[in-house]
Amino acid sequence: METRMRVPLWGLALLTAGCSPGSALEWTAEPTSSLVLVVPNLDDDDGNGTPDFRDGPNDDDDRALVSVWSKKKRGELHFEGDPASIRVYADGEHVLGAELGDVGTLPPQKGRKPLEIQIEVLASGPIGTLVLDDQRLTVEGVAPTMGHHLLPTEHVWVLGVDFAFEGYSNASMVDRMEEVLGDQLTVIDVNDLDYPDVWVQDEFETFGWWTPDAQGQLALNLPRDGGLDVFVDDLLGAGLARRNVGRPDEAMSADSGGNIEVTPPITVGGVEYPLGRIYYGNYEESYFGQVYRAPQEPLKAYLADAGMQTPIELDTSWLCVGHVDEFMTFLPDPSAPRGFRLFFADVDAGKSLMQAMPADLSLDRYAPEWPTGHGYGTPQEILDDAVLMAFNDDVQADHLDAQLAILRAELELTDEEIVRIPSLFLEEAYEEGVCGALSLIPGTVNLLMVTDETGEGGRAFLPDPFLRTATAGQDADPLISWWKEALPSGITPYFVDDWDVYHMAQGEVHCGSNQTRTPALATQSSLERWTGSSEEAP
Amino acid sequence: MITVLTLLSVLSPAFAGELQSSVAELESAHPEVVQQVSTARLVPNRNGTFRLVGADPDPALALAHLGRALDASLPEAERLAHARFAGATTEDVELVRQVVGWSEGDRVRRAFVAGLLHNDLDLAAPLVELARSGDAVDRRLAVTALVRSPARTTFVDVLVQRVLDEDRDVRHEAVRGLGLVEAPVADVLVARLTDADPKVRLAALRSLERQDPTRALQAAPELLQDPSPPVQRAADRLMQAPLGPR
Repeated sequence: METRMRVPLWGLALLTAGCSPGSALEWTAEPTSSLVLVVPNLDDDDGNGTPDFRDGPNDDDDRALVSVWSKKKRGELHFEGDPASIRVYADGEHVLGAELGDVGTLPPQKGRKPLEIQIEVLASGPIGTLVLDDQRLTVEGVAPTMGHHLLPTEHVWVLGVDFAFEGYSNASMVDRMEEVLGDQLTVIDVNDLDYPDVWVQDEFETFGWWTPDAQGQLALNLPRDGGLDVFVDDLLGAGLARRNVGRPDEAMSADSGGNIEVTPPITVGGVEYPLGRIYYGNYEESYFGQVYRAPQEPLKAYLADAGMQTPIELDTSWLCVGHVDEFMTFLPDPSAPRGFRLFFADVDAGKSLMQAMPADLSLDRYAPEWPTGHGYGTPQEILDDAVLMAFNDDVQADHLDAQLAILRAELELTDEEIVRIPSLFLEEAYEEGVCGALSLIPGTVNLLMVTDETGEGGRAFLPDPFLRTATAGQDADPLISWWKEALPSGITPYFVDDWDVYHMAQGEVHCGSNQTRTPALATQSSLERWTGSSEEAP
Repeated sequence: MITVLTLLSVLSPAFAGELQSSVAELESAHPEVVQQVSTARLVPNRNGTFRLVGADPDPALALAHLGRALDASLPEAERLAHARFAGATTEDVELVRQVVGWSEGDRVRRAFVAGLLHNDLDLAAPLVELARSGDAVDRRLAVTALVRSPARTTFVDVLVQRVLDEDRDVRHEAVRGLGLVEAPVADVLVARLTDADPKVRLAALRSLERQDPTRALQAAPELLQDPSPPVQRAADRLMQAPLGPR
């Protein structure tokens, strides 16, 4: 990856850079910041299992290219900062940083041609300042950002499980995904794990590195450390970096990827968030007499540092699992005022849907007792359960409405931008007491959005709600019919059977999948606002 | 197929070490039980607990699952999954009574009781006893199970006692339950509007809305000043649309 940055002309030092062929953003105005953003060289292009920066000055990829003039024939370059976090190359030679310390001599300039130097960095955030004569260049490792649902999907992962003897299989769901996504999908081999940990969404979160004309991917290994941890350990590769965050020994459910999502780009109160805003569920939990707060502070700090994606904190303490993906998602919709809509779980809509169904319709998938089903044979049995209905009323009034109010305020959402999904919940208990709310009807909002190259549509994989008899097809399902009406026209839905492996295990399709998205590019103005750097030339 | 009668002829209602001996006798007499119980696969739930898949829900096997729950050589997650499964599938009320009266093995016992929430047995007697136990989690689970029972109104006295429990979650479950019984409990709920815990106060207001909307509306203005925002919101919502609960 190569980053080129145009910086202002001043004095005798001209720092210029051109855009690499095929770059998506061109600098058309005279920039005002003496700043170079560099994608940290933490991927593993040579596949030796080590982030490339730590391999020493060998990787000629993943550098920022800057043109310089020196007042002297052989300029002396200084670095103010920790030299261990940077390397500078000139004419292909390593001249400063890391092994060479904070001072370096540049090769002689040839005629009126500027010198081209390349900059490689170890981390995100402020790296330091390069000083050449009386000129100063601030170097920053660009922060990774989460990919919102309007960004094209690059790759998808899901774990394949097919234990026929036990009736535990997601083969039909995986087969459908493979059929639709082809090479865009990787099916993780369950035999590579110690146990069938299907919660791919929860083990890691994907971020994009971006600069105006360079990009990369980062897999953030979350503190969950479940059976999929061995898979994440192997994710480091060409164009894909990996880093760990948080303390596994204190991991709570809210530290999982399904609890960390991001809105589409949005402007709120005049403040632009060109890469959206991160949102997550935040709560306290008492466990064996000790209070844990989740997400963990190191994780929250990391999310707060993600470029320009100022987090929104929601309350997910009312849920058994406690993840935001259990009740909301954003989908691209070019017909919407701001290009997206919020799809949000709604109990009243769920009850209305149930009331409109034939009262004695056999809900064959719901009828078996736990752990195979929910013990409700018909819609009437569900509606007649006074405890269940009261619980759902409380969920709506005390929790869903409250979270929606937060989102309305933080994102200035209008009614037109909100789509209320028919949903019903049940309450689970375990050895610590009552756990909280889980989806009774498979949580269809918990979907996998595979966005196409336009960013305006794509394909969505949703849990099949099975609100029909065993012999009826999906066309007979009222909730599937509802979704086909409600979905933006550019999104093609696929309703997949996630009942045994995901739904009855407290999750759904989104929980069981993960993806990378094309990193977003920001505008010059938003870039400068984030960096706070708009130095006047000396 | 192991019949309940066969099991009863082999076993005696006993616990811990005695139960393990009974299970060993069972497995010796019916070795197929071992395979039926041990070949169930352990898979993760999303909240970090585990569950069994491929396990036969035959009630006659519940004791064997309980035996595995007591097997200290197994990982705790597996033991808890077996305990929960046993609770959900047993039809032996005496076994339930023995388990809930077991003074040791807290997490296994609680997992078994959590499984009882999925059981249709008439478990009133052991659950009422458990609701008065010394363990707060047991009381939470017991009260939850009693509230879910179609006969919950017959447990009003238990629920009224539990709204004064020292454990917040027990009080919360009891207050929620009182909103669904057919009994004059409004006074009890009004008293809980000043509970020390905001979660209990919120549940009390919601239950009072169900039992006596008029009194709930009368209480709402003062609750607008409650230090807890959720309670304030509930009171405000009640005053905006005073037509009883949703």
